[in-house]
Amino acid sequence: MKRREFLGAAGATLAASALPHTAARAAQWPDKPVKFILPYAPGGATDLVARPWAEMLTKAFNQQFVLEHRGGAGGMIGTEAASKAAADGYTFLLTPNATMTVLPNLRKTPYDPMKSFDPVGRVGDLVTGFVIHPSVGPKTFKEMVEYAKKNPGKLTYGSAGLGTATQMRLEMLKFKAGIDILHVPYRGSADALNDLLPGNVQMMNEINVLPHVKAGKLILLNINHSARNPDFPDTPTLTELGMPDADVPIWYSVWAPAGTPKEIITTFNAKIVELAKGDDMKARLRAINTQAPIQTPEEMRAYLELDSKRNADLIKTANIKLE
Amino acid sequence: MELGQVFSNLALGFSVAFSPLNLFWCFMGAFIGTAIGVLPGVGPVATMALLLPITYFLTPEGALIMLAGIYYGAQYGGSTTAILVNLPGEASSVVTALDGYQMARQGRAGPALAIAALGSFFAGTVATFAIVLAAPPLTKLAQQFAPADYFSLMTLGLVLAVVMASGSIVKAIGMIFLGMLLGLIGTDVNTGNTRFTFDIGDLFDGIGFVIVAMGLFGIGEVIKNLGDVERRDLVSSKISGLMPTWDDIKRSSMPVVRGTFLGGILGILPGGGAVLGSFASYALEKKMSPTPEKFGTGMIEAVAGPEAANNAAAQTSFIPMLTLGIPSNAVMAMMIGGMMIHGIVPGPQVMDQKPGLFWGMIVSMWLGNAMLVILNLPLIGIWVKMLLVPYRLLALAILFFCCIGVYSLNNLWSEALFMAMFGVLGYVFIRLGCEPAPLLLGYLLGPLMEVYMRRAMLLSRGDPMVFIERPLSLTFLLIALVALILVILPNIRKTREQAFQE
Amino acid sequence: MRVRAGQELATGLLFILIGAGALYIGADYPMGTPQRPGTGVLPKILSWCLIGTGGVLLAQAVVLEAGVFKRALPIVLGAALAAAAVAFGAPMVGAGPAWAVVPAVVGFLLLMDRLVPGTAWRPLIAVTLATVAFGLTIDGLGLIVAMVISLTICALGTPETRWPEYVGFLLIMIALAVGTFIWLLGMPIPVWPVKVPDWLKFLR
Repeated sequence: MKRREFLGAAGATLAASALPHTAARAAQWPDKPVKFILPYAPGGATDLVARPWAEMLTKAFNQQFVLEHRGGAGGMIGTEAASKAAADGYTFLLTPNATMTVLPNLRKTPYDPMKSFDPVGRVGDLVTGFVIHPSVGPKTFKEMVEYAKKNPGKLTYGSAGLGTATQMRLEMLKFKAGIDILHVPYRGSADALNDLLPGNVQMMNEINVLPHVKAGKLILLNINHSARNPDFPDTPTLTELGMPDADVPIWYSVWAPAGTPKEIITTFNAKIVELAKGDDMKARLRAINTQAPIQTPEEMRAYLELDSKRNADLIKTANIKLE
Repeated sequence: MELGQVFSNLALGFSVAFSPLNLFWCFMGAFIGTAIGVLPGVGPVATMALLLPITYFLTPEGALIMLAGIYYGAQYGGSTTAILVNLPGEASSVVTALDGYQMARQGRAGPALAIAALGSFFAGTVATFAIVLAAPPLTKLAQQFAPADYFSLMTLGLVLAVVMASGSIVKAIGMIFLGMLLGLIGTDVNTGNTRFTFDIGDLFDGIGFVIVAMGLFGIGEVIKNLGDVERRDLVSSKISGLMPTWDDIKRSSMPVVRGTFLGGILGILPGGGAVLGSFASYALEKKMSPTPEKFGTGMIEAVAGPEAANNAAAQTSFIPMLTLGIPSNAVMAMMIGGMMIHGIVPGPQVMDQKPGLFWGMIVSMWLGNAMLVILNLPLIGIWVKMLLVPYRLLALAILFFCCIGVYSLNNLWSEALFMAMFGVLGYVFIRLGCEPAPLLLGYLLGPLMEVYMRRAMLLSRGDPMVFIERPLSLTFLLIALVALILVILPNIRKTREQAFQE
Repeated sequence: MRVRAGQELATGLLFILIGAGALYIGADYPMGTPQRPGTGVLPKILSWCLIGTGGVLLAQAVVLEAGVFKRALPIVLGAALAAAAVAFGAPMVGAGPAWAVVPAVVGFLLLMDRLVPGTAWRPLIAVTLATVAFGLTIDGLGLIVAMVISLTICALGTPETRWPEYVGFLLIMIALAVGTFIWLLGMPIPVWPVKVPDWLKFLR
């Protein structure tokens, strides 16, 4: 190909991709593979939640839903990439609330959770709670609080990292119960679990600890959720324990880059709701101790604002800083 | 575990692994893994992530058997590129590249590749049996390690890097410090502050190990060879036998056994343990050798030991994942992803609830290793022929594979630029007689040491005595001290003699 | 011994340069408390260790060849002056003082060439540029353009290149690359130009 011809071809391709034909195509959406950007490395909790959804959506729309992992900087890199992606209904963000309602309250983020994204659907809330290593002594939530009151700063708690919702759960507990527990940040929940099992740290609040509770290696003290976990029917929720509004939800959701056609978002949300009501999806999510509440995009937007304000208040009152 | 139970477990495992379909997936995994491993930079994690959705259509056993096959296949393939063209695609093959590439330059690529394959097979077999017989006690052993112990173990690892150096000790020490410093680039996990990032977003996560390794080793070597016409043609001019001689095998046997042991133990430890295995084996062989000064010039022991250690560690790193459901590295996280796709929740219950899957997978590991030997030994001839390609063309291929490999990691174009910088640095180091291996070990261990040091200090409430009060930690520190003295003393004497001679 | 002395001196200077640079950049990283060591603890320790090691190497170089510094002095001074000039001059034209790194690097390479003669300049420049060119083109202009540009630059790096053979080899490589990475592995890499690369955005 001669140089001029080549440049011409390149120019044509560039022009074609810029044509405003998205509106016309919204009716047939999706007519090519859809991509979820996940702001963390593969194999983590976000991956676990996203996999069944990608699979069920692929079947439901008869179109590939693929996952792209863009980990790093506490989830900021992937979230920023999603915020800058083309708003054509073929790139979405699937993220836990850490990147949307925790990090932006702790530091400057290269995206604005309120403005950079349009809500699409809520795909999973974690149903888990505080666990403690049996060697410490306390066997119930009340005993743990009493123990912490008698021994301030002696208990240790492993979180998935600074600025994660698992850290917020600890901060909320410390604040509401008026106790002091040492926060030890880890690089992800697997890293923390590895130190929890031999008792190097004593407490955690994640989903990957629950199989070990089943095996009798750890004690589950409570559930940070509005309802009990059906697999642990005897473990009370925080509200039942007399500590309302202390749950600090960890919730996963799908977001579109701001400006994505309304029709696409409506279609997508309807399908997510339909799938979430199905028994197959419920069973898949229950296996990883997750539930998907039904929400419209408007309800999600309101919930985002509520959750962000809740975390902002906690960060302010408990004086939490990244350093 | 009782012996009878072991046999019934193994019988169950064999019946699962030897089903025709699973045999096929095992072969496919090993084959894809080898092919991927040979491509520098394209690692097992990326491949497994790409293939994970496909495994949904397989049985759970087939899926996990294939994913595991990709992993150890990639380990094999990685050594091939390290030996042939000095391109270590991942941490474990850095050590193999040291003497393996020198052997290839002397026309002994065939024996190096063969010993690597056979040594790995031996190590894989032993490690698999270790998993069968002693997975629970080995898990207990790994749990003895507290953050302070990890810190001291890493310190010992850095001292081993000094032992490894074949040139100037002072330079090696400097290279370790430099590597640790470079490893700090990026976001500090404990505080969220960024360090040495110059506000460049693509640096917030640090520079990937593969970028540093391929820049320093691969690109640096290409620059050197292109400028050095006579020396490099030795590679293609005299290729001796493809298979190792009896002498090669005799010299390699004990290093393989020792490497298997070291790698097998260190592989159980999460985060950094598996990497230490091959480095430790190299250092050990050098100390045991009657001719330590020849290490770095193409010693077969230095290929055999680390390769065995590396493969043993690859096998035993499955233990925490199998017995506890804890992924000790990114590959194991992908394996857990593979389980989750099939609705299996990883954890201690898998062994009891899915014995067919559990034991089938373990048996398939051994089977996969056997397949790899069968697959790879005939390939050696082809690989070695590749070296006959004129260097002016081979250089282009190496450069391209480095570039595409780096780009495939995160699809970030800036990472090719970082690799270019490390390429220049790699060439500078060659000119200045500095070995890059200690830098790479520092690069890997530095950030880990910082994490463990801080965690230990946090848990001890700021009391540094924790490092000497814990018996494990104290032992590691003492070994490190003794090793350091043993290395430095003769060196001081040597320098003094040199100075007097002048 | 002249070459070894030169190597020790250049290595020592490199270590000291990097150590000092890291110390300067990391000067305000917080040190924290014993229980919570801060961001700055390890960088400072390592910087000083690196500077110390560099100092030992300088001493060794002098022991090996007393006059080694004389060989290095003109270039060290020249590079230092150039770096200082850029550091102060760059802000005047709107660039950052970090550009001083450029004369520092060039100066170091010249110094290395003087102390350890025999630098392969042509492949050094060509291979580096080829790698950079790949990075700058792959994202927007696609795999094939990136390969043509970067491999051609690399081929310019050696007088041995036979151009007809090179063109054939390039075509084979392109076919292999598209086959392996795009079709077999399904990597999300564009084959043909799709957009203006990010770094060229300022042109629009």
